[in-house]
Amino acid sequence: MLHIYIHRLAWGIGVLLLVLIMLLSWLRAA
Amino acid sequence: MAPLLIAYLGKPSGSRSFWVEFSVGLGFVGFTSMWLQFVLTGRFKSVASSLGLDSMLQFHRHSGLVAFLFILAHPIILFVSDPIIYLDYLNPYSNLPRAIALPAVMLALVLLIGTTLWRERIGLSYEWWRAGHGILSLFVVFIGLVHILQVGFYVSTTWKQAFWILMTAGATLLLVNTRVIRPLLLRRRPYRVSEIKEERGDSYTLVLTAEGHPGMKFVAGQYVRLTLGDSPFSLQQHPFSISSSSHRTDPIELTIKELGDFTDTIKTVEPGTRAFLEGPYGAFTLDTVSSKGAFFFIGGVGITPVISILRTLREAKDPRELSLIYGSQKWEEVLFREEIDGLRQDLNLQVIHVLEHPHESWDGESGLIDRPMIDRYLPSNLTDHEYYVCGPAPMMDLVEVYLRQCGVPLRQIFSERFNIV
Repeated sequence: MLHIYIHRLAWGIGVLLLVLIMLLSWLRAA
Repeated sequence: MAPLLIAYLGKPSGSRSFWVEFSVGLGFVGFTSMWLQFVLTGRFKSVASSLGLDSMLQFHRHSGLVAFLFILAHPIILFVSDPIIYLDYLNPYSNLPRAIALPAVMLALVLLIGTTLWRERIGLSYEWWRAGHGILSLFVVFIGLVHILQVGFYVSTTWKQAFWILMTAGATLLLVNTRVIRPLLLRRRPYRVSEIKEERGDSYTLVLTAEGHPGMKFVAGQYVRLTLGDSPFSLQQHPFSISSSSHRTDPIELTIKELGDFTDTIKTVEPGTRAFLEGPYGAFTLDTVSSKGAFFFIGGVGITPVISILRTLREAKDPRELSLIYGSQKWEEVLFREEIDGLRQDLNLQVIHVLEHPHESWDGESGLIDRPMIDRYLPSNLTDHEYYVCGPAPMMDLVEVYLRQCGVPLRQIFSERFNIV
């Protein structure tokens, strides 16, 4: 796979995980 | 996310604020992402040959950085959200081992990332970087495990503790497999350097003859990891493309350009030196049954996998349409110049040499490979070709992006990068 897509994939997954963690934390704390 | 969901299973022993939950979530996911790095770098042949080992390592580089940021944010958020409770984790009077281990693990993480991003700038050799990278990452994962078990908020039940311990043990085994077991297996398949041929452009071809085994089956365009010397456990293990035809499994030839590091020592290697080859790896390969033409964008020593492909195609008398845009510094430094000229007679091959520093009488392409130049040679039937890109990173970035913009499907673009650290 091309370099630019690997870069986007890795950071895209990172952002997605960040959002999911925030959502779960909000649910846990609520 | 699975470890986080496992952590949430069962009854929590109390409720905590959003910021604490968020920070702990980052810690868990960061730790798991770290663990995943061991899987990514496990060099599994099935994955490496379909995705390309360099793609796996590129993903390792980026996702490792994401994991680092998650883990870094974990204590920072805690210190800011509740400094009285969490700064006590650094208090040696409360718990001395913890007060030492937690800053040590953060330092190890910073070193792990810093030495990777700026290895060349700080003058660290590849070999020492690689040794340190393995040790530091194991240290981080072990301290991480102890930290998770010690805090124990989400890991109070035995099966959860077992899950984290097994995960860490698995990561350790993967590293032991790559760094110890594989070299052990390589001992059974030694090679000997039978000849060192000087090539154009400060490059040398190592001819490696198999000793007591039939050599290595590979697909043209793949590469191996080379260790020179009597022990396969040497720190010096480097990836090099195979330059010989894949119709021959023994001897195998690797062509190596002097780039100011380990590669500078190739010319001093004595014939008779023992060598070990791990591999083959890489997905920079040409489908032998495909009827599609192939277009190669190559810079400098990036020609090595391509010369293997061209030599293999010549032996197979392959009729397909082939084009090679080949960038070099100077005419005298064009690696395999004479042989490529000869290949034009045997194959349906068009060669466009591009010289960065052309001599006065040069009337061909000059400068660096750029978009107008690519436009001049791209075939009108774009999708009837497969595209291969190998060379310096800026050239590869330009060509890969431009081919996509021109409408070349992703599965028809192949690229290989070696300069990951």
